[in-house]
Amino acid sequence: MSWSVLPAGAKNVKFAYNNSAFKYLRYVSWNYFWGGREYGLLWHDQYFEPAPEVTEALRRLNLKEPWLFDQRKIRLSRAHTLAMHNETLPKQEWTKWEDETFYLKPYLDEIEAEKTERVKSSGLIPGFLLKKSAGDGH
Amino acid sequence: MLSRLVSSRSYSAAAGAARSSSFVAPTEEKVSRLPSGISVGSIDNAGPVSQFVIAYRAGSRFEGADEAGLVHHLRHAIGTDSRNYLGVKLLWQTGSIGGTLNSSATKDLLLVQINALRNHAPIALSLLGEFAQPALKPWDVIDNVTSFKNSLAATDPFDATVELLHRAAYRNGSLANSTIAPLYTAGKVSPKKLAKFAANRLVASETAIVGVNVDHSLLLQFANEQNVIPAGAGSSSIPASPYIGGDSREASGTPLAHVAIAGAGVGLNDARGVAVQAVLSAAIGAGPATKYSPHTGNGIVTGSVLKAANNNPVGIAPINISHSDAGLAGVYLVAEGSKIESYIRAAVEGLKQLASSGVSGDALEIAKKTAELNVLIRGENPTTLASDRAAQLLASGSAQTPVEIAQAIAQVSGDDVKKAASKLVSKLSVGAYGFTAHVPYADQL
Repeated sequence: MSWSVLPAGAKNVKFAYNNSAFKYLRYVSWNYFWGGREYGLLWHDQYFEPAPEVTEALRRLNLKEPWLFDQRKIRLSRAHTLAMHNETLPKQEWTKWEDETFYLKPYLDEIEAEKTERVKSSGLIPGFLLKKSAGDGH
Repeated sequence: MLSRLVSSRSYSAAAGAARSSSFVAPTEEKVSRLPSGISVGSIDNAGPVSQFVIAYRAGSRFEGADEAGLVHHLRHAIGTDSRNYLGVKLLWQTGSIGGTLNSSATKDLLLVQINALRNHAPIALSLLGEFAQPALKPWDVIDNVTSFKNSLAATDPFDATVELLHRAAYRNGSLANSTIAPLYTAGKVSPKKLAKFAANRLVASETAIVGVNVDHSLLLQFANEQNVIPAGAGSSSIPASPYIGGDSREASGTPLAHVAIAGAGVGLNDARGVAVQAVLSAAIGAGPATKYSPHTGNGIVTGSVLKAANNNPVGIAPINISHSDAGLAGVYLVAEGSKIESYIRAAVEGLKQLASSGVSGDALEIAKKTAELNVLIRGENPTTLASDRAAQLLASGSAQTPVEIAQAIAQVSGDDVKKAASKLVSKLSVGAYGFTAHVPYADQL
């Protein structure tokens, strides 16, 4: 059954809750409770970019796997063009569960671990979480 | 006084070496070599603070032609995330055991050192293992750019001069590769290149683990059970670097001239030669040890330079460098750029006098005692004690304690020193930094 099998591209991704119930919920949410499939997007394409954790994860993705970052940019550009024209992709071209890769998860997990570690140790806030004031230049 | 320190020496398995009774706790030193290729050494002075070092044969001489400055950046990456643990966590735990992390690099070696209270030794060792294998993530490498630029700004002129001396002495050889990376590499070092270099060089057969004030069995247990240092041999043998001699200079904004004049010396693989070079550098001499000292310092070269200086300020220090298979011996001078030429000529005159007539009688005794003292004082600092031992282990497979080196120095004869001095002056190298307009070239000396 396709819901119990994680897609091939996501086989290295570790989820915190991964029993059958959560796998089923994940599959159902992915198929019915978001609108990204019809624009050819992956799950992590829709993450809220201005959030500091997501910005940092995307920066690290670009440094370590720039080809994935480029593919993400192409998918988003195509999706935005479609949305502007009030179109969607034909049903055969919608994203399939087998093509899903939760590509940002490792980076997000590492950032969360770093945050916890900083709280447990020195309490210093890492640079990407500090509020940026005007004229910072970075 | 030397006989109060009793050293009992044994190799890996033999445990019951005889110790004579003494109200000073005896020093124990041991050396082992594991089947994985890791060399393990320990010196136990029964002190309360342990010092650990992991040394790799990953110094700047192993950089390829397109990898200039890589070791400097790798050194800055020590303290960042390892494969299994976050760097923040490791550093915090180091602090919680009262430890300090140091990373340094020479032409032969990359050293990672940690110290801790003796009862925290096992934790310190496992932390050291993690620090010594950084994961070199791209964002960590980028974060280190600021600290790299700061380290360049804080470079000692002496270090810059010695790097130039190596460039002069070894030209395009591997020993000429500088441990100080050029500024243009800031932000331009590819993490992939760093990772490839680390994967090639930071492997088990190029590793030495040395501990001071720790049980040898603990080090052996760690080295056998650890899974952080990958097995394997380095991908290339040590690139040879013959001494050639010549000049290299760098002008900079200071009005002072820092000049290093040296000739071929010996490497660590020649233990007797190292003792002779120590006496030679003591015979060359050094300036006074304290400020405003009425004593102007011993040594033939010091004497001739101070005479030429005629109460003008000049700084003099001997150069006594031994890498694993080659070395340099000579003198380092600092003075006003406009006055440096006569001092350099006087120094070279002193070196030639050493080579032609040697040292004998009182001067030889003074030089030998000074050399012994220098070696023993250096051996009192656990940091340098551990790193020197690691360097010896990786250079020749065996190591001498400071006491043994001092005993070897006592056996040095005036003839040996004369021979070493003749080898020195046969082809000189000059490295100059600062106000170099009046510094003569090597073939003009």
